[in-house]
Amino acid sequence: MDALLHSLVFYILAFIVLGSAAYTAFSANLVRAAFSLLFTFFGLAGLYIYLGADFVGISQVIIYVGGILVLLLFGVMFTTNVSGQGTEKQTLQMKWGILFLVVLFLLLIPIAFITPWSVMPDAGSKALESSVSPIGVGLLTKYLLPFEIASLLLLIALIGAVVIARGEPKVRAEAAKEDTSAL
Amino acid sequence: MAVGLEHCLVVSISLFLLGVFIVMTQRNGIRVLMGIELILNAANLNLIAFNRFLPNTDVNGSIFAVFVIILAAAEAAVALAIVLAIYQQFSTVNLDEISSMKH
Amino acid sequence: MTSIQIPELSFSLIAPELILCTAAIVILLVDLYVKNVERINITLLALIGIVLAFFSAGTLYGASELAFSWLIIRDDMSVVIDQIFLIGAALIVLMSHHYSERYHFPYGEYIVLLLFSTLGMLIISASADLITLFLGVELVSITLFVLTGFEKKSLLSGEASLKYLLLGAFSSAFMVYGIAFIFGMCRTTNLISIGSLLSEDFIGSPLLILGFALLLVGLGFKIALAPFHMWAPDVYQGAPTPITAWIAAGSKLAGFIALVRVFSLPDISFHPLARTWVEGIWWLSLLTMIIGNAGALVQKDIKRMLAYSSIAHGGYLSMAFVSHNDVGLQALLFYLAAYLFMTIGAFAVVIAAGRHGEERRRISDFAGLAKRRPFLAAMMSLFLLSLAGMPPTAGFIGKVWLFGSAIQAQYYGLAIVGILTTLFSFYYYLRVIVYMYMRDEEKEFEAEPLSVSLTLALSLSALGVLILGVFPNTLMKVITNSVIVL
Repeated sequence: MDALLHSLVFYILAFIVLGSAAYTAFSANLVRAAFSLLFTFFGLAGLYIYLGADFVGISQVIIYVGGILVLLLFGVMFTTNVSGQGTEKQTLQMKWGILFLVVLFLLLIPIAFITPWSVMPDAGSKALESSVSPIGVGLLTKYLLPFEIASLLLLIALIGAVVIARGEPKVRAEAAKEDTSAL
Repeated sequence: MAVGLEHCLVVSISLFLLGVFIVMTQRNGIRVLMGIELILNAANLNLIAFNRFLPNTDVNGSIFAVFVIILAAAEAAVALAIVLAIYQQFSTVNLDEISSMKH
Repeated sequence: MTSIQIPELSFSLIAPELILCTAAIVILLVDLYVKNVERINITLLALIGIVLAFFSAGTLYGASELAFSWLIIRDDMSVVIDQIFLIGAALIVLMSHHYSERYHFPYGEYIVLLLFSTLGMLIISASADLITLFLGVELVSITLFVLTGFEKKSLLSGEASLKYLLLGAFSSAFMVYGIAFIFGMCRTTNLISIGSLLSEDFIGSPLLILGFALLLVGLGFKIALAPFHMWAPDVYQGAPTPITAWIAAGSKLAGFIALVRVFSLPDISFHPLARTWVEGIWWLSLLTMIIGNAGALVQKDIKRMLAYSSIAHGGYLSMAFVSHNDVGLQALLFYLAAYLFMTIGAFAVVIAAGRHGEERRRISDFAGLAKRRPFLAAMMSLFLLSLAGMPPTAGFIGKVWLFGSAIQAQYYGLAIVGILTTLFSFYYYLRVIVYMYMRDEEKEFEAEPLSVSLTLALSLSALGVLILGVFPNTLMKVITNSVIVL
């Protein structure tokens, strides 16, 4: 009974993830697609935690749902007419795309099953421990250098986003002049 | 049926293919970004599933997944800035309409 | 609570990276806190950083060590490549100094991003683990997405940066997915461990091949191998010209070095996987040579023409992976150095031949350049002839060496296609030269006077092309030694 419940959780989470991802892929309305992505990310966070990666699961909620998804929604809101639907036309490409999807799926799934995995014998029932502490230690010892590189990555993303998004320097200078003259 | 590594891989592969499908068929820049996020998440699911089910992996898979999330955040920030800049210039984010290059 | 063991941190082994990073951050702070800082000072700071990094890399010859818990490998090959990258970066800084004056970029941020992209390239060349490799590739990619969009008044620039971003992010996602499978099969991301694991026994799984194939596709996008090259012409055309040069030279170099790091794993050559791998690259190389050269034939825009030429060169260069021997690897390194000089040089001429608001974009705009600016025309001819592979330039030596490696490995078909497409390429390279020397200009077009920085960039690239062409032995010796150590 316990094992059944255990699997059931997985299947429900997987259903949420794939269903909402499919909705994102096939929905004609961009706003709805973006919101359905919310469920995908939440479902994935659940799956990560289910698989014992609690830290990644929480990061997923904070960064993906709280950050990236909000960015995407901002993008959608800024660039589309929210009430307007049918922003995209269904093209003939779509049919070929679906065909391609199905063929690849049928090709890849057997590969996953025939691969001889040396799975840990007790993997399914292994007691889950928190991964936060090992990850923290790992980031400050073995993965110290990548950790620092990642900080540079975020720094350049910050600089880059500001440079691209802000107006022309000249325009700003003129705006500043107007501000002072108004005073 | 008990949940095993294969089940996770099936979910991950489906997610990956949906992402690829979005990138290939959609012409809206933001929609394409959503597809890319799906692929990155599929990769993370793989990493974590391997981490869970295979021996001698410590938390390396989880740590890699953290780096992937960091990358996704950095990329999304830059992407939004570029998309907005494009929208100011072209008043659209449809890739088919954004095409001023002479061949 | 277990005590944390801090691993040994050998900072001296990553001195070039640290110096470059420091220089970038100093410039960022100077630009932020010093009011009205002169552009020349920023350029000088950047150049000082690059030169210091260059010499500190020079002291690392003969190190051959793994550092930072096996994430970083410091061998002679990485040192040679670092120095090549740093020379390239210095040339780009010189070009940018002139170009940014013409279009008023936010110069401080521009140089900072340029230095960080160089840093990413150095990290790639020294990585011994897929994590560092991946982060290095991303550092390069994200900075270049931003730099491509720097010319905000130009519609082309924004369009190019969007296309570059979407395809770049897509290819990164492919890479990550591939790495995830490799991690699953080998249970590690360390390239050295993967190499020894594969040489022990073939983990006979299609999933492993799939993982490597996805990684190859991801990197193939970055170096614009056909059929993953669609983004290249648009991005090259739209990006600010110094950045185009940096994408064509630096980023392509970095992609190839990443391939070298992944696929020249020690002891992998007799592995069954290597066969699949060689066959895959064989097709990519063939396709890239044909598509690149055929595409270049019909271009009217000079930057697009150079873009296709750069795609074609990607095809020649990937031949080295097909031949899969020491000679191939040596030839690859030599040709990458030569390619860097001639590509950067050609784009420097494109900058020098234009002026504010009016660039010579079309090939027909170059008509009559020889009469008006004989120096520029001579330089352009030199770089184009080197790209085409005429003696006594660096391009000739590199091509001979590369094709030789393919012949030595008995891939005659590929070598013949390489030679034939090279012959075709003469047509479009010579066409530009014919325009410059034999046609009269259609309208008056006075270019800006040549600035010191641009003259320096041009003559250094020309010197590089000629020295590597006439006295190739010095670099050859260094490269041969470094590959043997590997």
